[in-house]
Amino acid sequence: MRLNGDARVGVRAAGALSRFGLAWRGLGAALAAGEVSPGSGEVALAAADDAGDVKQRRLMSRAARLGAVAARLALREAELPVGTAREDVGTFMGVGASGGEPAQIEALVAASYQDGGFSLARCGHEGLAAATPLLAFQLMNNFTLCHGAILEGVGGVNAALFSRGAGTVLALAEAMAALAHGDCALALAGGADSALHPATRAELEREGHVAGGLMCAEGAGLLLLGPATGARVVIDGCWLWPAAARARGERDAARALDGLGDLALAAERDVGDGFDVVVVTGWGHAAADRLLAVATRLGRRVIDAGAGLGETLAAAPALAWLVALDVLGTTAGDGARALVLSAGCDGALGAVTLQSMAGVAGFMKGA
Amino acid sequence: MGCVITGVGAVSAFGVGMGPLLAALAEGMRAVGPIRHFDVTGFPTRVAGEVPVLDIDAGWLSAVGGLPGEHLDALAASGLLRDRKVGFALAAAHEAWRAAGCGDAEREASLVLALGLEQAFLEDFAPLLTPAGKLDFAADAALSAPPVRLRSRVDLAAEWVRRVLDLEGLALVNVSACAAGGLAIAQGAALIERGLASIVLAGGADSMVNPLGLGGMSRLGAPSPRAAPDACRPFDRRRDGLVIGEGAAVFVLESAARAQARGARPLARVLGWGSTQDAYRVTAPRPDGARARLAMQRALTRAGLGPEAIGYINAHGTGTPLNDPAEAQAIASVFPRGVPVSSIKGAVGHLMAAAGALELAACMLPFAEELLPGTANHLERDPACAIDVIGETPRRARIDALMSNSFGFGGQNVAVVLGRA
Repeated sequence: MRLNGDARVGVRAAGALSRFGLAWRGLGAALAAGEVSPGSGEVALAAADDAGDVKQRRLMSRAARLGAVAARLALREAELPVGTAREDVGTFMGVGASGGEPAQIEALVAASYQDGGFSLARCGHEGLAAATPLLAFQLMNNFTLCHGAILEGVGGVNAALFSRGAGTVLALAEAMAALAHGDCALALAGGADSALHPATRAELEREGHVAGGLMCAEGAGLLLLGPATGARVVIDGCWLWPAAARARGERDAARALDGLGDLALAAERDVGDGFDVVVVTGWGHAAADRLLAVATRLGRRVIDAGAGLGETLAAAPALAWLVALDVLGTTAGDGARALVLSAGCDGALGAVTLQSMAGVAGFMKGA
Repeated sequence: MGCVITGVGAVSAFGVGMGPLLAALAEGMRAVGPIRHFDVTGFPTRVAGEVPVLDIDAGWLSAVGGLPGEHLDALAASGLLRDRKVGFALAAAHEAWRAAGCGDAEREASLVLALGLEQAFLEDFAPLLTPAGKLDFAADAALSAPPVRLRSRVDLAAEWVRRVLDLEGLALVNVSACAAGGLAIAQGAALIERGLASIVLAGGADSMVNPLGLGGMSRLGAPSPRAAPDACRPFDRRRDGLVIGEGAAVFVLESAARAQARGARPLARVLGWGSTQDAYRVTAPRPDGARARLAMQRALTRAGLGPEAIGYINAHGTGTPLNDPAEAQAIASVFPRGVPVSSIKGAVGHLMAAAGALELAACMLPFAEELLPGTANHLERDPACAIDVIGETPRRARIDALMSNSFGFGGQNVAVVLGRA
């Protein structure tokens, strides 16, 4: 289903964190070259680049930290001054599961342990006392959006949507609609998440996704969107094909995979072809293969973002958009078109089309 | 093209169904009391707006939700009913679906559901503890069946509502904390306005009445320290904190044209909405209520109404020392000539992600019965909350439009305007 109608938006700036570092420029080239950074899927976050101060970070989940840094990077790149210019910037993000620090849960559970098992009575007293009083703030997943908004003074229309893929595409569609309706003049759209949280990783294993080749990673990607007029790159299409209701659920990785093949064919019918570059991100080798099979028919050049970036859940579609943005800005000529196909482990398929506009000088400086 | 409400379902501390909710509110009753479904002896907070069911199982769903039997075995086997909000969502969605007279022809419906956090099952974590006091997430106990283990997944309730009703449209799960319920209704109406759907099931479900939810909020100091039925006293001079509630409310929203074509009776219209962020602090709302005020003003603008057209405000009204004066200030500035205001949180508790949805369900009372809900436990006026707060007794009035506010932890604000059908 096409979500944006005729609405088009311009990309003003972007911010990204991935296993490749704190930049979106260069991601396209690195991934096109088949680079996979060494080590885990973790984002290396130096103290100087981190979000907020020590006290503020105690309130943050990992995803919230990544999201806050991405918001800072995007707003800084747009040279949008702190203050009234930011007050009505919208924020629409795909966010993942709760991400309380494992050490806090460990302390709580350990202090609740009695006579070889979990004791509710001890939990209510000793258990809670062993955890930080601020644990609830780490657990609330809307804070993945809110910390960045608070730190950066962003106060416009907003929504945090749960995402294992589809929610992030829907967040982009909501941002495009808000801009088209005049609810805000600028909007941040994207996602932040970590599949490295041990509870999340265990969940993905139980559901069979890890066995299907899913490589757990973390990241954040945010676009700062504004009017299409004068923008160097515009987003002109946003589609989502939801997984069939009966094809989802626990341990449904295999069935979702089967459904993805059908959705990819639907995408092929709806989005057109002749793209200069197609970026795909799937939740594992098998999912990516299904997308790649379609992608090679739709574009001259194909990049598998998921293979290099790993599975970043709510962040994955957004990071793939930034890969496409990088390719359009650095290697493709004016009028070049990019398609991003993103399949999350929720089984849904998203598609976003971007185009670099002819005659606009300076990458993302013309809006 | 307008958006109308043609069906509503609710689960609250008053029980299952819109009937018990509206009847109790019309009588000025409250349902906050001692938590019964788990042992809270050691917990600092021991009262809640608890839905009156100890264990949610297939039998309960069959009895109160009237859910098709074919799904109950799968539901029970999945283990997901351990997360109470899944059962609440299913019961409320099914009630709304039936009330609106929906059937196979409406299966194209989209779903926008506000949901709270995944529920952590702390007892599942205990077997993962190593002698060194660390949790071993690679242990068999973490990775093996049953599939719902350690914690539920945030979107399970949405997935199962979709599955049980066999919905084919888009599915959005809004997780914007206490603003999520209001935002879900707004997003559902927006999908219709944008032509992406002609019928949407929209609402919210949540339960933080569990050890980690209750304990986490208690550690923050948000709940009232008093374990009493009147623990939550919105806008009252003696207010000292919120009371956690649980439940769900779901609406069938559809284009007026579609409703008319199929002969569905509109219960109310969704006229407008507005959202902002405080961008202030993690731990507190903006004291001046400036961004909440802007959300209300935007909702009026979108509705094409002036403040004088609003006959009632269902406030966020948490009963916390900080929220209520900030909200009162915002209301007073948008409605300088005054407007009747109440909060139902003293009666049913704070349903968190589902709060906005249940409070919009309560807003059916003025349209159905010409009664404005009262504010349970509001006995002493607070000069810091200088607005027209309806006391415990509901107020009789005929109104044509109303507003419902929801403000989330983290600073997300939403106001929704409904009109008489």
